[in-house]
Amino acid sequence: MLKPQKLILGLTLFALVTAGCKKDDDVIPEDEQELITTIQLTLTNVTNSTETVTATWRDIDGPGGADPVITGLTLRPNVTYTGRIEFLDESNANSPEDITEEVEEEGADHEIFYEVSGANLTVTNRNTDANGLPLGTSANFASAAASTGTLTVILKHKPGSKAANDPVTKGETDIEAELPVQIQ
Amino acid sequence: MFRVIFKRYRGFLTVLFAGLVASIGGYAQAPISTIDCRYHIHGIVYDQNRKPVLGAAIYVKELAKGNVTNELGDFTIDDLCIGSYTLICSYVGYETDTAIVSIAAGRLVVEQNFKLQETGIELGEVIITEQKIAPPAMQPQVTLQGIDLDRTRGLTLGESLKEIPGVTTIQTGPSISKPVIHGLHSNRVLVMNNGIRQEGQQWGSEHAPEIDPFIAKKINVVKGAAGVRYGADAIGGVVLLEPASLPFGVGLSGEVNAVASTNNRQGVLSGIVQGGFPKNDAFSWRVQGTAKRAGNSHAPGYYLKNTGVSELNFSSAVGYRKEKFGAEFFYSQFNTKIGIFSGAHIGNRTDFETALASDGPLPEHRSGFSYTIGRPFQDINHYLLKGNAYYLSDKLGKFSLALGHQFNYRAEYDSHKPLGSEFDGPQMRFLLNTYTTDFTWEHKPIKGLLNGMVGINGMYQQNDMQGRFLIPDFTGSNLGIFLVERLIKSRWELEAGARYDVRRLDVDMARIREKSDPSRTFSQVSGTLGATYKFSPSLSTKLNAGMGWRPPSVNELYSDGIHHGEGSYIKGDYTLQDETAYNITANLTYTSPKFQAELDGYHYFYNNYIYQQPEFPGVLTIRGYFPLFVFRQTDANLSGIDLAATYAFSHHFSLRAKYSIVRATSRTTGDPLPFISPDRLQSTLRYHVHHWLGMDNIYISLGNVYVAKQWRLLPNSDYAPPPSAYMLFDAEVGFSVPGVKNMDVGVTVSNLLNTSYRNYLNRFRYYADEVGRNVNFRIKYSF
Repeated sequence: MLKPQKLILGLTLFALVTAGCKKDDDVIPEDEQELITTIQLTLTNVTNSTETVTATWRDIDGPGGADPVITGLTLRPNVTYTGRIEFLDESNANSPEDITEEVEEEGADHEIFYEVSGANLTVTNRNTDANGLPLGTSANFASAAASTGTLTVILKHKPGSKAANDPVTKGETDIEAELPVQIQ
Repeated sequence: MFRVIFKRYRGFLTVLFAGLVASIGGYAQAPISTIDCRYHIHGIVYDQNRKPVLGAAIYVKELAKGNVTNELGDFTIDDLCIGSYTLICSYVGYETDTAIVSIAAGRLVVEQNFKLQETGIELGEVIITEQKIAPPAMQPQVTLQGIDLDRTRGLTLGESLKEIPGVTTIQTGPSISKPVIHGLHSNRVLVMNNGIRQEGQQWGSEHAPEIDPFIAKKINVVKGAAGVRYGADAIGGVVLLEPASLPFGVGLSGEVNAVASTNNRQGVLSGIVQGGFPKNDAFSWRVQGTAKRAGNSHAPGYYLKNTGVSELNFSSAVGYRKEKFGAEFFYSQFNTKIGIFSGAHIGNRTDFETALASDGPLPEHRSGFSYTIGRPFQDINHYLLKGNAYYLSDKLGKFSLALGHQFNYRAEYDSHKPLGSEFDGPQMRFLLNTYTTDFTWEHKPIKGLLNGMVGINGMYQQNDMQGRFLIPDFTGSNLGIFLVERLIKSRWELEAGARYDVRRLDVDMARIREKSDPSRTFSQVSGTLGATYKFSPSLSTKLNAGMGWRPPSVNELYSDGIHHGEGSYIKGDYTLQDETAYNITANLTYTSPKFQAELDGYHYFYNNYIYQQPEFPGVLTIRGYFPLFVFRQTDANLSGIDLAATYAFSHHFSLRAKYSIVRATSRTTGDPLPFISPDRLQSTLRYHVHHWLGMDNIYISLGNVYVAKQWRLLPNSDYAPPPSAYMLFDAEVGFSVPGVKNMDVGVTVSNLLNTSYRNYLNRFRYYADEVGRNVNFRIKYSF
């Protein structure tokens, strides 16, 4: 018959083998969630820096829930503007966060496209990342004859695969927001 | 009231559990599949030339039940009580042999071989009147064991079950698969791992069962609503994984399995070491472990980038057994890291359409071979600690108690870390703690005719989720009581059972936008009534009517977010009610030495079936427009047929064919329901020799499977048209190595012709083809 001591020893060994295997829990910090709630596009007249136009696309509660609030661009015909885009996380009203800088820091993995439809607007001269490839946090916007249409801002994420003349379809879409455009 | 009862009950269990840990060295295998006892008779039937006999009938006279031998001449008769039995072994053309076998406490498996003498009459007047092959239950049931199980070694649990007629899998890429029984899956299929119901985040179709299939010596699949014994939510069926019984009273033994695959350059090594004490047959132990590593899978023409898997599993068991009392402890750990095909993680609807329009993965998602697992990936750990005990009372019968604790950790990593953040952890992390308790009493047979059991199942679970919102935190408690009785009388066998369940769900509303009552209680009665009848020794039928129900799960009630694998927005509905299914299954089985056939038919009459329905308009987000899918309920009909037949042309040649169809429609609209398996026809030609060039049990087989196109769909109800029909071929060879005892080798080639195809039940069918040709080498060595 097995002695009680042996039984206890066996049990202890079993417990040792089986215990102590709890997974370390990586607690995810609340503020580390990637959430872009707002896009703000500010256009400044090249010849008159006091003339600015701002368009916003804002969805404070993120995907789902309340509908986004969108303010389009109203431009004068035949004017060239310099544009600057900002991406914000305004989900916490007390500490809105500017994410544009981070896009620029990771510029080698990102590219912003501006696609115009219907309106007589041309986007050129996107700024470049550290490798000299187009980034697009700023660009030139030139209006022509009066017209209406849309401007779609697309932020692409393509780690390791960004190249010159990438089509807009390449990479994962982080942002695709449509802004109404009126040239009058 | 329920809460009060549960609290008391939990306290009681804690004390009991602590007592068990302190006083007992282990526990016994719980009977998990039937209401009978737990002893087995195993043996091999040989002819006078010591060749195994296939299809010989072994019949237990006292119990009017039995089994037939497989191609190795092997047979097992399960669920026997202590006592003495008369075994009758017969086969057309041979003299019938009889043996008396007595089963005493302590030895779980009793060996009894038979050696049959030829009568000289091949087929003729030999009329077997007494022998009947009794099926073990009222529902269609398939068991994978022995060579059938060995052949699946190296596959995931879901994939291993695909051989069973009526069972398919839903896949998420090449490495994640979940079993589908009769068109139902996830929360509607219960997986019992070593007697404990597996509780992970099983609501998700990309959440595969967190189980190492090498733990199991036997996998039993019950098709149809089998909820009375295991939980009412087992509407589709139950998958039961059972390890071998612990070896009491014998010395050291074990098994090593090694598998290598060419397609994803996978290597698997799994081992078991176990032992008892020849001088003290009260104690026994086992240690088991598996390591698995695979790289990118290869579809014809390209590698699927980032589809590697790494897995490390471990389990141990100790047992104690005396004549009337036994106990066992079991601990297992399952750890895996699964790469998700990078081309399937998409940002928005436009990306999705780009991926759909592309012929194969986009250039940035093509790569060479690599073992590296990068983002996106899943990191999963599942721990199970189980203790159980039984007591045999001469007057009352058998009492069993099983207590389990499961800890499920699931972390999901998106394709990149949050923008501008140094945090490299998961975007979503789930922790699920589940405590289960099962208590059963199997009463002594009444007048030798009526067997049965009563039982209680309890479960308490807590879910904690962090990261991007998908489902809320919750606590859930379940309590179920049941009664099953079985009457056995000559040609008839009747079974009836009833069950009552209460489930309470307490949800943390903090992150839910549409607030509703945080506490919900669901309760319902379920039941089963079945019969088997043996027309003749070779022909029997089973008929079963069952009713199961399931409360809506937490994702169906409260999901609210974007699914990056599908490019859709998923939304729950907190007003959902329980779903209820009335199920009828009928089975006809014919067994003769030359021909075996099994036909199953089933029908589900479903009320409040929960499914996902697209709704318009979609959801406008900063990533653009997403189609919206909302959980809805409808009354539905689901029915189908499974047919399997084997014909032996000679002692060497046999042909096996399997055919399965499922149909599912909404009764409200008459429309077909989505995501149902297409028709499937499988056939295998097999050549088998007992001895050749010193090798034993050599077989060669050539098989093919035809899967039809699933055209029973509403037009435009899916993102892409269903994939075309396809036909695949496979080949296999296996034998026992000459000169080495107990070493079996097998080579399987799947997708022999390296066919490009897509599978309707693979959620990644939009992005890439299925894997191409794979050669799988496996070696098993037992000592």
